[in-house]
Amino acid sequence: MSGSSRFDVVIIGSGMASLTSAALLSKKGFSVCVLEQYSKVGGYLHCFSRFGHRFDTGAHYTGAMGPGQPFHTLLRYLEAYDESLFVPLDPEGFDVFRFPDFEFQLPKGYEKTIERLTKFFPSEREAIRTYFERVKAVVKLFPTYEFTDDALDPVQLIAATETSLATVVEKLTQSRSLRAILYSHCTLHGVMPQEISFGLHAIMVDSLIRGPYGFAKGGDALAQKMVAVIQKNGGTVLTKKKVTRIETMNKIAQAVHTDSGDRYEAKWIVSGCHPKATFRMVDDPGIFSPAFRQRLHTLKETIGIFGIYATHQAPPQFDRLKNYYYFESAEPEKMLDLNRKSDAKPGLAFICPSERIAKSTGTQTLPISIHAACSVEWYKPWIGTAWNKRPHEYHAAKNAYANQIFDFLDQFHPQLKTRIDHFETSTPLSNLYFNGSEEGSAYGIYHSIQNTGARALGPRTHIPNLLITGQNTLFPGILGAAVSALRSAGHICGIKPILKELKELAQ
Amino acid sequence: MTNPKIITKVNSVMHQGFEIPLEKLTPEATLFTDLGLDSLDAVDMLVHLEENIGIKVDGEKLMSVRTLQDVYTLVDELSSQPGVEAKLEH
Ligand SMILES: Cc1cc2nc3c(=O)[nH]c(=O)nc-3n(C[C@H](O)[C@H](O)[C@H](O)COP(=O)(O)OP(=O)(O)OC[C@H]3O[C@@H](n4cnc5c(N)ncnc54)[C@H](O)[C@@H]3O)c2cc1C
Repeated sequence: MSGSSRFDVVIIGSGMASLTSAALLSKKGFSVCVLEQYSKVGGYLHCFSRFGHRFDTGAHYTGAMGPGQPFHTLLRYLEAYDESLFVPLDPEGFDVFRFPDFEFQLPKGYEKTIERLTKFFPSEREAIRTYFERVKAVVKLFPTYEFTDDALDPVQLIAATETSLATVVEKLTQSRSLRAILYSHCTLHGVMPQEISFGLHAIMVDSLIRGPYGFAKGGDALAQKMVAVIQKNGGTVLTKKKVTRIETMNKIAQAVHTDSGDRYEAKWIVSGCHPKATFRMVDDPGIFSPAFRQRLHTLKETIGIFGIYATHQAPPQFDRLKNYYYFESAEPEKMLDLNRKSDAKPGLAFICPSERIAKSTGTQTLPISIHAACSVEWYKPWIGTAWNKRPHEYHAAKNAYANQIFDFLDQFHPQLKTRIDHFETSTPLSNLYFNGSEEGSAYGIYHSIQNTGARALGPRTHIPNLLITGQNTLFPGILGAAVSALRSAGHICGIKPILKELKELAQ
Repeated sequence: MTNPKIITKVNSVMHQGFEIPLEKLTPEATLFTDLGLDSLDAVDMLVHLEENIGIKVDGEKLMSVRTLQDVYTLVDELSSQPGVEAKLEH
């Protein structure tokens, strides 16, 4: 059945950014409608069940979730905070960074982090303190993270976003191992230390050091909570509605059309799917100048991620409240294979336990997700095939890489594979199929300093009433997506009063 | 005096990138009023100039650009960056 409905705001996709936009705008009295192409809401928040366990896809842990911290405050503001959804990760060491010859466990809190690192690198005391002082100072420049507008200095902000992490770190320390530790979190945004903006990296680091939390019931539960809030505010959330066209008239968006033949009219459209996909849907490509089209075309994507979802026999080698990062080298130039495209051999991996809280007491099987960088190119022949109808060759290619990942991990956990009861794998094709990601990339646009700060896309577009939101517009992560939504929705309903309310709530 | 090669190159980039007729591209033309660009186009312009001329501009510099002459001057100042000379020839 096809029909036409009218809303103040139509929101494309139901990832964290879309849900946050919808929750905020519906709270402010706008009639909103969320259209999700998949049968479930949440985008990367979604979970799936295998072997009797719950596995997360893209929500293993988050930051800034401690009382009064930015993410916590934002969710409370939206009336979407529920304590039972989150579990604090191990304050003594929530991230374990393992290199061939040493291991470092990152604890919660700046002072503890500085102290532990200084114990590790006594001669780097000054460098370590200065680095974290700079992290703390730079995050204060981002109004939608710190909820302040008063001290905003655009020149300082642009300078912070156009300086790379490596530029800052290399000036502070010659210690290659210290550099390696400070670069480890680059796996979370997928951008090399020479290219990631220090400001964006700092937000990620700050959020994790201050308030590292796991998803107690999986990312799904947060998505469900957000949907409940939107519906309570009178909003509509629909699944299996793939937007295929954005209808415009005189360069103004009028409506979106879905593959089911429905038309949704709106005063505003907020798109949470990839900007390239969003602009491809606009029915009048003449709106975009050749300069803009070229700019869009030159944006590259982050790497793909290969996932192994496994059940690990009891007694487990992993703590439920920690994440584990493994690097083949502690050489800053070699430890991150984030640009690796052709060499099908893993050089880094990270392991996150799913089900952060045990279902019952006593030792039991632990579900873990193992991730490693990979390229969509390796799976090119099978692009466009349905996920459950791929031939034997595809599965053989997947198995081969899974075995290489197990071999890589063997140096850290001898015989890990023999302790795994069952496993299933995913490739970037899963991201293409389930999430409509561009080129199967894990974290969307490669946010290098070339396209952050003054050069970042969004939230405004060349169509005044079409906004973009999500990981592609600011930085990846559940928090990045939520913060980006604050900017996009804030553009519609006015950001200043919201920042003021958030600031008051945080105190 | 701005290097004439820079004027020609910037004009050609503006013409191709924004489909602005060449005769409108005069030094005193203001980007927003005379050439019809808006603040989003200004960012596209910056990226487009960087791509096509091989310069790297500090984002904050964009804030003081008003006329096309300001763009010529900005590019001129940066034209000693490596690789720019070759791109000006094409
Ligand atoms: C393997 C992996 C692990 C990760 N781990 C973490 C982690 O531990 N912590 C963390 O903070 N971040 C993590 N991330 C990153 C994080 O998941 C994402 O950055 C974030 O969830 C992105 O949210 P979003 O709203 O921008 O986009 P998405 O979640 O991608 O949402 C986009 C939505 O739009 C829908 N859509 C697309 N096209 C259309 C269309 N045409 N019509 C309708 N709907 C459409 C999609 O189906 C999807 O639901 C991880 C990512 C990956 C890949």
